[in-house]
Amino acid sequence: MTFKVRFVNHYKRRRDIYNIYALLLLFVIISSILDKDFLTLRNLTNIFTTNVPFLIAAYAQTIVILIGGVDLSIGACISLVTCIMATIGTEGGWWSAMPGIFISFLVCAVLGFMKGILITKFGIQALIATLSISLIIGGFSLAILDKPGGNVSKEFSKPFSSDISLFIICTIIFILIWFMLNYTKFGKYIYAVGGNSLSAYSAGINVDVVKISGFILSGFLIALAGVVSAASMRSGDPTSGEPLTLKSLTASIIGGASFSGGKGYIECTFAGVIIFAIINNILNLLGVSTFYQYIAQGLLLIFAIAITSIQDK
Amino acid sequence: MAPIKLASRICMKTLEVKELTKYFGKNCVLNNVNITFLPGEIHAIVGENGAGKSTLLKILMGQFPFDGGSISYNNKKMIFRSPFDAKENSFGLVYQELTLIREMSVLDNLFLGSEYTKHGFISRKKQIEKFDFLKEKFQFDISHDEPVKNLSLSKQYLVEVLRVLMEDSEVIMFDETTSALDDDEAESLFDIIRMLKDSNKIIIFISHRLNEIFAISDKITVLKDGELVNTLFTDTLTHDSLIELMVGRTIKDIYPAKIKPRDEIDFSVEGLTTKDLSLQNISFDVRRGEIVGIAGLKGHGQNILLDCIAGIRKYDTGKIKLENHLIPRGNVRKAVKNGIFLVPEDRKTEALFLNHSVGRNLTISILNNRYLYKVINKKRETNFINDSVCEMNIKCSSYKNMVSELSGGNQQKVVLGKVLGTEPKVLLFNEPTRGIDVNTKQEIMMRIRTLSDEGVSVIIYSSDLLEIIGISNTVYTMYEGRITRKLTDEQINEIEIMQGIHSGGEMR
Repeated sequence: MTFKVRFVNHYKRRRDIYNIYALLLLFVIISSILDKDFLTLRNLTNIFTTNVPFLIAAYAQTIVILIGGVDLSIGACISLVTCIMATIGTEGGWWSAMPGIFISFLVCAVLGFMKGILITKFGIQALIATLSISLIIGGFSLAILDKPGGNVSKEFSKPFSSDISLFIICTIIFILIWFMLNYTKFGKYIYAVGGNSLSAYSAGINVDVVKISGFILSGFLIALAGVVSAASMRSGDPTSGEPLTLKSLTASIIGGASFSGGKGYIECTFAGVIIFAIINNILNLLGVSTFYQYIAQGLLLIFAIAITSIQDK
Repeated sequence: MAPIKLASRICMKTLEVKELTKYFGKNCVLNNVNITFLPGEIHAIVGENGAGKSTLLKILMGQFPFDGGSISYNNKKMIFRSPFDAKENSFGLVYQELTLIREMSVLDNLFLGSEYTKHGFISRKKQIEKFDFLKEKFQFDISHDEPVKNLSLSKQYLVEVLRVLMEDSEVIMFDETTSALDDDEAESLFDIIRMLKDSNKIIIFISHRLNEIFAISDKITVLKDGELVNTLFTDTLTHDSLIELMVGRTIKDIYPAKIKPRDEIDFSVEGLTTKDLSLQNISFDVRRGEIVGIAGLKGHGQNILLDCIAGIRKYDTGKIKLENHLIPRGNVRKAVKNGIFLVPEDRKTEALFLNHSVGRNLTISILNNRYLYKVINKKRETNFINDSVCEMNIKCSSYKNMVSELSGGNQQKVVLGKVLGTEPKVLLFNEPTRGIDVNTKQEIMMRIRTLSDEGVSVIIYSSDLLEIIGISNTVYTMYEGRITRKLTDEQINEIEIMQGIHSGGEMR
């Protein structure tokens, strides 16, 4: 086989990944032409660090989408976690936040389990199940903290405000998820169950267990996103997470994840998040009002979905 | 392997099904069935749809529990609780429908559910080694990295077969695996099956294509309505005697006698060509009431041709005329308005609303025929539905039944009933009898014949050559997007057609 043929074949197989990174590159180039402040180390670091909860939430969403579901309660869960973090162990050293973290992870895992049970055992559509969960959690968050406030231990939140530690956290999380999806049985099963659950069943995979575990795993990631978010705000807010639901969905879709399940890559979701963040950042730099930013986000989503569905044809 | 050892294995590892009984609710789908499967033997199971063939395989594969009797393999009683259980005990089934996961690579699909791991992680290296070993052994050309969706249909089936081979299964079952393949593709599958036979596997094979069954099987078991009719050596049977066993009565000929069509030219296609050359200068005329058969190997343009005529696809140059009236290209609505209808290949996805009732499916394309003051009239509609259920002989307890509850043959009748309700002038059929039992096949063929008698022109493509031979007044063979031969009357036979579809011999 000649080099060219091999390259073409390789490209065909990994088309989704190459395309999304080409798009990312395009956005970087356009942005750096539009504003000279864009391509500075400070701005790029800023883009990254302010979007860490978003990034982790998008991973959580991608995993759920891969198993053929969707999670509309991600934002509400993150808000809940910030409320828990801001009311438990508010003073003292970094260890005082530990009970809060433990409870947050537990709560999110249990919620993930519940979503999974509702979807698999009760046969409720993911959209409806997670939407109802989202409403319930919203109520709980308000019961804990009726307005933004509370306090997160300073000692604890300090490391989360440093760029280096956020960078390390993100790298570790990315590698773990990537490895899990590509090199473990569970990862392959996630793709299989999302791709065609009947086939997965006849291959001897316990479909329900995979789905429930996927939601629990996604729950852990949501808790992590919430903890990082609370630490960076140093307080709790019962509505702070709300935009993350749709943002995480948009980023996953831009990254090429398919609502029908079984299609999507974690590396593409990463690119999706960064593209989303770059658009907001450049609009900020150019001084465009937030209202128009929403319009831009909406157009981006339509664009992303149109591209993927045309490709699929 | 030493021959003596081989002989002892033949004695040992038989699969015995004894007095197997299975109920679905009150329906008895298998009643006291006794079959013995020997290793190194290809055992075909035939019967009409609903005879219980697929159910038998599913029971053997642990998908359904059974209600009575026993299954023993290697003198051990087997009760499988799940397909996984059956796999563990070296039973493997190649499904009728593809069960691959399209987005995943060939390698991931092959090892799904039985991954090779090292320290708990998937070992790609070991998997690729195994894959290369299989590639060497069975001589196929597929790259392990390729996502399944990029493969051709026949290669996808090959992957499906490989999946079972990989497990080193001793009992390998094929459930109509060939129904989506054309003759060449099926033949390469048979080579693999014969190879398996030589390595002393138990092979159970289900197909509706009798030719295939005669070509490959050693023994044939006939089931009818859940009961065993007989198990016989293939050599002792002929086509006709087998059909007789299957239907319980003699069908002299599945295909009704041909009637000479009228002389007037009703419909014509002139110089149809597409840019990518998947169609090149296709021209033919269809007389009123004529049945024109299109023969060709899979992928030589027959589907595209039918799609172009039906307006589903666009062609680049050429004309389609109906009664000297030009039909605009690439416009399904106009085509339908002019009375040109396509009965598509895949009834489940392209023709039917599976989760709607029989009635709604029958009426959907011509709602306004039963308008009264611009509103659909319930009474007219019910009358129409009852008439067509009756006329088409659709077996359902009520027209309110979901189409998904019907068997394949009855589903096809619903499609046909729907199309007939629109009073078509030209009917296009793409594989009208795929996966349908002999009896229903005959009904559908009779139906097509009466239609042509009534003056409807029919263009039919089928990968089953006998079908084309049996029904067509004129046959065109296609090769690489061109028409290679026009055959009429006595010219319509297997040899002529085979020559036409296998070579670029010029049109005669």
